Amino acid sequence: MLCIDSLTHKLGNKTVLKDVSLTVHDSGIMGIVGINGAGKTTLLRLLAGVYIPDSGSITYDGQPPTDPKVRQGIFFLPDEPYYTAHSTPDSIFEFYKTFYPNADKEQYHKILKIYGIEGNEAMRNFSKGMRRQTFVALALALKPRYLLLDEAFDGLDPLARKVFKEHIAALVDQSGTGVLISSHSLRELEDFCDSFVLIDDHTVKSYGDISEHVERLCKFELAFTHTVTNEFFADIPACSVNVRGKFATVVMEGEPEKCMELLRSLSPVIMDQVAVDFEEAFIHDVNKDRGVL
Amino acid sequence: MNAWPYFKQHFRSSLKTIIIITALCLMLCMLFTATFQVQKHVGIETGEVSYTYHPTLGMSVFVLCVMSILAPILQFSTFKRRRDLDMWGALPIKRRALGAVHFMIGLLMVIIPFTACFLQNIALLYINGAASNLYMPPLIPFYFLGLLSGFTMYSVNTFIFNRANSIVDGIICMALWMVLIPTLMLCGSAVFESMDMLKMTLSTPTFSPIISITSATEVTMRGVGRIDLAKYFANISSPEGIGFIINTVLGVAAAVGNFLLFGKRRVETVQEVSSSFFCYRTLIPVYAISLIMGITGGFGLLAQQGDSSSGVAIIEFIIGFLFGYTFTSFVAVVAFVGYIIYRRGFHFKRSDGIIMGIIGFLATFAPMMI
Repeated sequence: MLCIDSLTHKLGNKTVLKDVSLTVHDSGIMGIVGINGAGKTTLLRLLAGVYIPDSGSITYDGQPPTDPKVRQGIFFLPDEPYYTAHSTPDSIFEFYKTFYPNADKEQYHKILKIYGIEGNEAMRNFSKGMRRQTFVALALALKPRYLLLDEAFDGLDPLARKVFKEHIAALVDQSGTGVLISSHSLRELEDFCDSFVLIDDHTVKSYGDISEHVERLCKFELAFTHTVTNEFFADIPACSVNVRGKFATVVMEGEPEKCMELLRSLSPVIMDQVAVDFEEAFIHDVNKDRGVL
Repeated sequence: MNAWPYFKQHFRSSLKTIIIITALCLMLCMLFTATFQVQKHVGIETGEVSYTYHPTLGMSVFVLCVMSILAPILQFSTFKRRRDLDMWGALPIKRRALGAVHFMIGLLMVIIPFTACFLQNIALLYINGAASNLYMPPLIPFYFLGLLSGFTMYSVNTFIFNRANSIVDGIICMALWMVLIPTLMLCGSAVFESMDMLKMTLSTPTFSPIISITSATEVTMRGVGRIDLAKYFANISSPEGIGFIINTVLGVAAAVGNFLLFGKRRVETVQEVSSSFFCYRTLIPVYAISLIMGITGGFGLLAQQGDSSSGVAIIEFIIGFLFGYTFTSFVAVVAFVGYIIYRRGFHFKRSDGIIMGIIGFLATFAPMMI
């Protein structure tokens, strides 16, 4: 189990993370979400042992990541992974095998083959996506206890994303790996992660189960006989209102029945409840926190 | 994790680089041997040729000097790139062990080309049949003294390079530290002589690797024949002996410091301003103040040499004064530019302002002492 307790970290004079506390259980996939500059990458670097926290603690089963033995069970895949001008997928694997004795060469090549990458090609000639695929294959082949992925889907094509998700799910099921994954692609995270943590204003604003979090909100599509404006919904405690002529989409927080009752007072000719996605919930949370709502 | 598996892995991956560098050094030495003629050593007192020698062995020391500068850059540049540090910082190995492995491989990058060039140069001298007619220094002591000096230079350069937060700052600081002591001695000599206090020359004990046995220019251009290796052993209290001992202690201290500080370094400071006391913070004021004082002393000496009873003295005084002002102003401007490079713009701190004020004050008023 990964425990983060009152973690605070500064970069120069700027506080990037402030009093972050979080518990991550094994065998699960947690999405780290937040706007740009929220502190997602810094949190992952701290979890990987790249940075040493200014205050607070990080422990993996009671041990800090500063201990190399603990780091042997962690693999951090950064946004821009390291490789040299002469690196090939094979040489990268050999390098990491020195540090991770459980590395599975067979599986590495199997995944590379799915991506259509040759092990002896020079990585300097790879596209960004191919390099990403190589490191994704490496992350999966090292079979770590904790996998930390920064901007995981960046540069991956739809097929590669699918393969990646399938393999991550298999790794979690078979090895009990705990995966922490940061991404701006919230729709990708929604159908992939069990839980999430929202970092905003340099601290954890909320975390928990994605579906439970999303179900707090309800979304309605409405049609009217006349053209409507935002002012028309002034008396409705809506999280967001999007009007398009005679049509409107309203997101509200609370029990669906109560929300529908309030909306019926506006006499819509059609009212349908539709599913709220994680991205809408995220935008709602961030705007609410900033007092935009 | 034990550092040994990584040492083996890193050695394997660096072997190609070491071989290429060694091959290039060997070719350079061969070219040098073919180009340079046998040199004659003329005794200073007698004016007669005391022995002949070939400077080719000096080339192996030149290689040693060059590699002691290149090896820290090759081995430690990766720790000065943020992108790379995400990988290095997360690897399951102690940072000190990581630094020690790179230090050792860097040391091999210094030793292997030097040894290869040394052996090749001896072989070339013997193959040419020239060795029997030439003065040859005691080869084994020469080799081991070279190794020790190479270690010192490499160790000190690595320590300085690792105190900087970027590759460019590291290279600049290494270069500035290399010529700091000769500069201080030159400037000190000018100041003290002008004040009739002390006569100093560069042959006074020189506690800097760059102007002791391993000096590239000293050894290469003058040849090993001039270096009296026996002094190091027979008379350890000689200037060369003391200098050598101090250099070696310095090398060991730098290696230990490098090992200890490598683990404590904060990754976040990489690519930020290099604010270590071993970088610009010390180097700019020390260089600027010593150069201003040295220039003032130098032009002061020039003015003193004139005959005060004639008009020549006045002309020399005016020339000395004007040139003194020009050069001290130039030093002050360079120091200011140095602070801009140091702070990467005009983001000066109060301490920078105070130092720049002192430099400006000295640049303005020191020439008046001429």
